[in-house]
Amino acid sequence: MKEKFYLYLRYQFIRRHLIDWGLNPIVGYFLATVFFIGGSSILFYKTEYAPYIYALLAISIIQNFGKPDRIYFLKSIFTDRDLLRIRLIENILTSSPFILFLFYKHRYGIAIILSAISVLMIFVKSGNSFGKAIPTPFFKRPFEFILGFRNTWPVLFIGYALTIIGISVGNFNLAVFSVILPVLISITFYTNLENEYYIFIHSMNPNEFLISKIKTALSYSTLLSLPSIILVLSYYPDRSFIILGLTALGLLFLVASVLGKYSSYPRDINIPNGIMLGFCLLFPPLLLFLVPRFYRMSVTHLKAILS
Amino acid sequence: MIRVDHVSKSFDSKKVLQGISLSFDPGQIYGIVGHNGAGKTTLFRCIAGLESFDGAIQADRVPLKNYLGFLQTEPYFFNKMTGKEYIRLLCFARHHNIENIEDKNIFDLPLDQYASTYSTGMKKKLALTAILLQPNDYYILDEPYNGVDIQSNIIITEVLHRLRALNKTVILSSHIFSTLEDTCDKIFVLDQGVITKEVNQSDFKLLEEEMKQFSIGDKLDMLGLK
Repeated sequence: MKEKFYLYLRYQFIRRHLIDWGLNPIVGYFLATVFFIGGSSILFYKTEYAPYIYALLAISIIQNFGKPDRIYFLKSIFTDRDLLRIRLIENILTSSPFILFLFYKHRYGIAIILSAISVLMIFVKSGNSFGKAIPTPFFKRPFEFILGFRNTWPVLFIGYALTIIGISVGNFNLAVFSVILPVLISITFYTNLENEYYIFIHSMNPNEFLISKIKTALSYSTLLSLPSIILVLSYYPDRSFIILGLTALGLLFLVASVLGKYSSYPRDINIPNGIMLGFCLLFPPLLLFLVPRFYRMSVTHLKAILS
Repeated sequence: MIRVDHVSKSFDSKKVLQGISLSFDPGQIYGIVGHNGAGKTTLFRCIAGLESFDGAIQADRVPLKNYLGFLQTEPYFFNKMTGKEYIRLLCFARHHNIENIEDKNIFDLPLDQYASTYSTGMKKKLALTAILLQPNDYYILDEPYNGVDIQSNIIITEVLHRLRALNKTVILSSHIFSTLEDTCDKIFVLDQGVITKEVNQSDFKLLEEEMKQFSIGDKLDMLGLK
């Protein structure tokens, strides 16, 4: 009963988010389904590594359910048994669309492994709760890359491993993927809005603030990609145009994400802009229109705090 | 100097501040007291520029927010950001280069630990340390003593005296009257969005008595304690 009420609350949170975004919940569920199926189909069409990316994506979402603060809170109100049951339901509900799609694509092995991991992750508490900090090379320019690096460093190192694997087996696509992976990960650092205080403290106008954010994002993201770029360029010098071109495109996407984050501040990026940003994956030239648009919108929204 | 001129603020139909006019001079410490929900935090947020309002707020240094250290009632900390990184962020945001942060750790905080894991009092002390290390002329301290241990209470009081000596303008709120008595030059009483009293140091005792009378009255008798 208790778990039912908790899950009902979780459902209500999602519903309220959709309403906050200005969407009728039914329309929201429908769009989410369409985007999930559409995005999955595109991913599987574009790359042979789709099942692995897919599984990693599902695991990274589930991993968030095991954050210490959340677990402590749930432990304080539920028995250990109820907590495990809740985590099991959450993990299965979250991973089931991914698992079903993998079955649909006849990737049975990965689907079964993902199912098993989803179940086993109910015992995992991610992150440490003792406040012992993971060292980061980005400590000089707070804060997105400091936090992002601490949250994603295992994936970043997997990316570097992929570079070596890609080069050693002569798989150019895998090597290129590993070059843009750090940029893609950097984009995730800019998905959550910060508390207004962290904007208020800056003695900058909106233009200076945005430029400073973009500079940090570009320089640190390039730094993260640099080991892979150097290695891949040295093994595939004849394809440097593709390598550097894709990296530049990734960085442009990163800029759009940074600006998109503030384009509706203090609210999350609105649905039409979010859709346009997603559409840029299919049609990257749209970024050339979207970046200035997001910049103008961000300046307008930040003026209230950074006048 | 900060001048608050006929400032009003409403949230929907609820009037939180009603035509408030105040003046805060340099080298002075001002206390704002009032019930929970009297409008203290809203007034602070208006001065800081975090809320829109009717009326005007002026300062001799503009934009005010660039010279203002604002300690919030409940400072917010990101997960996985250490105390040291928080301090660096606040200084960086003001183009202020800071070295040897450990040497300036007046509250002996574990600066290499994640700030989100700090206790309430430690979080308050970290947020206070950070704004003290910024180059500010004005300070708004919303409940600086909240959750803080006795030793740190003493340090905060001394810090406030030092800020006054440095000709800074300090506005603070506290629910512990003795802390205001020890630090303030003037106290404003805020009630339902209106300043109902302005009390100088010489009359603090009277104010405390008055507040006690008003707050307690015969309420305790209602409990029927035996």
